[in-house]
Amino acid sequence: MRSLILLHFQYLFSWKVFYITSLILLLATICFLYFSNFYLDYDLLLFNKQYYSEEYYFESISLIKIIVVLFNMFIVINSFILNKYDLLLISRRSKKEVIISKTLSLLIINNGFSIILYLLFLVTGMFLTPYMNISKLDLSLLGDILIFGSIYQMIYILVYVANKTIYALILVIVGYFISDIVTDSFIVKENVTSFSKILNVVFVNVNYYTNEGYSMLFGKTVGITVFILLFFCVVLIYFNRDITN
Amino acid sequence: MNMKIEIYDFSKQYKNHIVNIDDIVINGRVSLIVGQNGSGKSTLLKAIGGIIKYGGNIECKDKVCYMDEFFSYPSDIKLFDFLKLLNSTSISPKKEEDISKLLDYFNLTDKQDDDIQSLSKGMKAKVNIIQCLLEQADIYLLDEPLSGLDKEGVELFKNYILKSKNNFVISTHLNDELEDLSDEVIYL
Repeated sequence: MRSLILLHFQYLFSWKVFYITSLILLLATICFLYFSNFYLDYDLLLFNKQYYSEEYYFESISLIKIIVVLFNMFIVINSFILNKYDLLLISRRSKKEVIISKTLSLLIINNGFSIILYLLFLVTGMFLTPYMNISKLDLSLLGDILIFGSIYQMIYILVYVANKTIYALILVIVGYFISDIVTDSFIVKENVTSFSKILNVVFVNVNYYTNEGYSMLFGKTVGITVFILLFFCVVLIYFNRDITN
Repeated sequence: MNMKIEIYDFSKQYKNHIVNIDDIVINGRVSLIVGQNGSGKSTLLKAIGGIIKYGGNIECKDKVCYMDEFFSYPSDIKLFDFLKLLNSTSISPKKEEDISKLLDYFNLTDKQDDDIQSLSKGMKAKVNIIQCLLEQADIYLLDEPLSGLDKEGVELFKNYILKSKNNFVISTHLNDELEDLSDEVIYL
């Protein structure tokens, strides 16, 4: 399995991909700097600590979610559409091993990228503003973002494996944006509409709820369950579909 | 080693057409599958290789290795390192010296430290054959192996097949090139 993952990494990582990913992270950092309002008077930031903190969190988390959703699409396209090499591996290993190793490789990349993005958000806030400190190191939120990204990645893979067309991936982005628009933030979780609830089963979102802070609508357990179900669907569909180059 | 592949009532449904193949038995050490475009040569090889779903029955007890006509190469990796990495994914990987021997045989030793993406089409076609031969198998299923090869490449490939003790099922539309070394020709 290790050698398979290394080969997937070789296909996924090139200097070009590395440069583009670095550029995305740089742009995100510039946005975090802007969202932090660090250029405002220090006393003003301190005086309106709560307001600026909430604003920084809301804008940054919204950006992180969009970047994670788009980055996932980018790596799924790179892995499944631009680089067609599955037949090379299927001659050597079983279909199940190939798809599981490929999915694991993508998950490692997605989660690594999300962690770096989250750390950049935290570090920017901690070093430049008075309203963020080490006690705000919210690992629960990081967990939500990782589950969020992993679910979207599975949906992308599932949609592509089932339809074998790049255009199908647009469905996932549209699904995400609808879910993001429909699911209100800054309300009590119980007041979320039924339509939002239905959407959030698959097109999950991380929102701010006044009674719970930032979290997924149905929590981590449901999120992980959805992820596992999607993962099994991916393996099942891949196993039963023809593999073509 | 004698091999035998038995195919009965084979059919494969695509969106716009169906490939139907009558009952055939492939048992030559080097078997050519010849036919016009769309006759089902590649489909049959993929079915034997277990890559696609199909109707009917294919009986083959030996371990097969399928070589597709096309595949993508990764970026920023040397030829030798790529083959080494690919070889390591195998259940029974070959030794590094076997990679060197194959590179040497196909006159690619001087290219082994080159970025794989910088190789010409013909060289990539040789790499495609090498990666397949690196896998331990009883039967090699080669889909259009001559595609992209120059005269020298074709000769090297033919000589390799002649000297080899392995079994080969080769799909091609250039049967004139390979007919002399084949034990049987199957027309679809």
